[in-house]
Amino acid sequence: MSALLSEEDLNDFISPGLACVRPVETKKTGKDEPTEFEVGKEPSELEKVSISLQDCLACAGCITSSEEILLSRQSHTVFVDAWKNLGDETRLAVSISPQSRISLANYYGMMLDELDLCLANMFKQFFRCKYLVGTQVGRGITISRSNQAIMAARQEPQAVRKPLLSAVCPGFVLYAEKTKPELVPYLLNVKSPQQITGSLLKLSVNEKLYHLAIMPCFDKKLEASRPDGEQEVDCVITPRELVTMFQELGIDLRQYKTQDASLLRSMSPDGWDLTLHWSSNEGSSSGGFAFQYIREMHQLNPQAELLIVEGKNSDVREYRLVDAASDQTLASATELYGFRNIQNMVRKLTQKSAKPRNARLLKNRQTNAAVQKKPEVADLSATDFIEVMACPGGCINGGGLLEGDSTKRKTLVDQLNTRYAQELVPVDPIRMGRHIDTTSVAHNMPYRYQFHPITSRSNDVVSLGNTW
Amino acid sequence: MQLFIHRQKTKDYSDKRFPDAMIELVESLALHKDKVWSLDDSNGLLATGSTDRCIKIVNLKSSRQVIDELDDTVHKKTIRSVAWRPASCLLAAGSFDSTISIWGKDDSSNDYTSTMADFEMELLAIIEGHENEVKSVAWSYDGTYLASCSRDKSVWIWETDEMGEEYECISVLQEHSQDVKHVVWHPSLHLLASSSYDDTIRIWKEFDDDWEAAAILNGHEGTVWCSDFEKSESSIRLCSGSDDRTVRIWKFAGDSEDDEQEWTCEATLPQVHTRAVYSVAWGPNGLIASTGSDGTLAVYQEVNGVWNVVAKTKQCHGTHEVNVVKWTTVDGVTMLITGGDDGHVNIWKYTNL
Repeated sequence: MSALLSEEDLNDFISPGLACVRPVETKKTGKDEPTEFEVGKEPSELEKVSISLQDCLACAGCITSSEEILLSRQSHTVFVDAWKNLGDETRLAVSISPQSRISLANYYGMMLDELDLCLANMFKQFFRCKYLVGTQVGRGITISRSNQAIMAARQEPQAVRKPLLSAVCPGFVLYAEKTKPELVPYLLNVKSPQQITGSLLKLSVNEKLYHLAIMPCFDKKLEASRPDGEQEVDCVITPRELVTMFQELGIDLRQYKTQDASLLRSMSPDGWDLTLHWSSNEGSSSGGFAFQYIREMHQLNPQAELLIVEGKNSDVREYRLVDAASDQTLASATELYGFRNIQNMVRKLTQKSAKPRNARLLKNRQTNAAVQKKPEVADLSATDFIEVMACPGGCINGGGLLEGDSTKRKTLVDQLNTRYAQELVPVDPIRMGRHIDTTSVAHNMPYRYQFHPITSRSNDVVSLGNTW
Repeated sequence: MQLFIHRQKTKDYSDKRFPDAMIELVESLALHKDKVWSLDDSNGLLATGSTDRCIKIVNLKSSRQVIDELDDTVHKKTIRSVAWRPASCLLAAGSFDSTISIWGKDDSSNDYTSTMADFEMELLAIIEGHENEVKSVAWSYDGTYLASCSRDKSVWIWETDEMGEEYECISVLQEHSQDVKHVVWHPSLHLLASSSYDDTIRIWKEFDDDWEAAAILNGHEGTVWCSDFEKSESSIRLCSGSDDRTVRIWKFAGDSEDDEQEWTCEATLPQVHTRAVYSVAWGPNGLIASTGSDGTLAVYQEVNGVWNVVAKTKQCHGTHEVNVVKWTTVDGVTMLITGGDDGHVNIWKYTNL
């Protein structure tokens, strides 16, 4: 097992719970099995249980999955084995997220375009990789389709309207499906850039592809294993695993430095504009989904004023579009990162905590209290769309990214955010997404998740060990 | 007789032997039908929590009568922990049903003694978030923060308003590798200590707009059940009790370069307990009390940096285990209050001889 990938340093990793419900099955030996057994002469031993990623996705026992299970299906060693056995017909295609590129550039002390060329050269020479793409094409479609879905949802009457939650972060989606099923109706079912990029790659070439995605976080492995998108990505590894793989294979990435700018073009599939798929867009370094929704609403309401309302901590920010004349909120979208803020969001949206309040008592108490006007803070109940990310700081702080020289996480995140904003070339993802959506095979693809809330969660699991 | 002679012979002020103080049972209150897990007192009001899912309020100042029994349908399982918010009449209770309840008095005035006759507390809020059993709840000295911990291995910090009605989670701390048994705040700083089945104590402090681990106290060779800060302005120390039968003293030694804190294990108190230590209490008088599975209640005093046992009483809840001990002062008299598996709350008078 990789020394780099240990429990201590995965902040998006949660070990299997005591309540893992994967049952022990008896292997059937034939059709004519007797239905009665003599005690002591029971046939067949119990089959050794193996837990697949899909079992984990269907189980309420734990939030994500154990390291062992992740590694058994989705790891750099699995990738290397698969790559060695690709055969003559299957080509290797690699996609890489912008956060992963920034993290690698920072780790190797390179400029971003230097790193991109270096990676392309290495993948081409060492792995005979045919295609290498950024994930912006997928992100553009995620953004443009999300915006359409949010705007459609706004047509609902105010009373039944609820904030839509981005499903781009698989850590959050799994958390909702497994432990907060009441949140599932809030999830926006548009697929993530990882999945759409994978689908488009496979659809746009007439070759059999093995698609490796390089992603900032371990939960992306589970996203790739979902039954509603299994063919789109074959393997997900993180920059950390990539570096470990380089060490194991004796690859010195710096030796692949090159000035040959035509490499990226030659590794783009036909019809893929490399100035688009290697680009990025304005907004957060997690994808800018909240900002891009408000940007489109702003384009539709150019007279309105765009306010940025900070939340109680640096991981909450609301973009609010306000009509200057009437002071009415026209649209609102919120970035909300980290487990603590997700908890407050859950409490606010599901309103359960308000239920047992004693109205008479509260009224009595309030008359005695000085009435305080609350300062203007981000307001979740009135927002149209929430860009939810499980990691504090968002995807630029993903658990699969590489550590820098600085010991403090926040210093590194600030550094990566600055480079993200400076070195990636921003495009208009809405126009790009709409264009690709209408002119390519994407047109016929739904790109929607099918969520599965797991409601049969028992609260009375017999717990092991001492519980007091 | 033999013992007496022996004591005469070795009389030496540097090696004090008990009894130097006396612990006398004042009253044993048969409050609960099942184990008493937790108790807390504030301004003469004692709150108790039990496996029988009841929370009872006892007026310590007069007749030691139960003046209120809180709605026992609110929690579906054991009440594991109760805590009064400082300088208010607001009670938090943590339960094995994974929720925390907040209770308040009908009027918001802080005069909690005048209307003792019709004293009644009602449910103000239910806080959800923990995945399973809540093991402990604790308020910061200024009542701004409520900390909670659980078998789900996490410590949560909640921020509340002046009225104690709105709760916002400001941090979820997931660094313990096992069940977190107990949380306690420093008496005058925003410094939190959590004790765990992973044998460690972790110290937490505010950093930027989040909370971070300031130190890990390693040393106990078993579950740490409880800890308590010294009630001192001049130094920061913590005592802790563990499955390893010891009570240890930890001292804050200074900040380290990487924004963490240096803590050292300053002392292990003289061995008294023969089984797990479940509860420790560092009184405002500088004395430490400990109790636990062996049913013994012990008091330790520090003289010139050396800790001695100054009083000890065995079987303080008969043959039952004792889960909690707290110091209190009622009408100028120093008392110890214990809660045991027999469902009783025992009130002890402590006298220095």
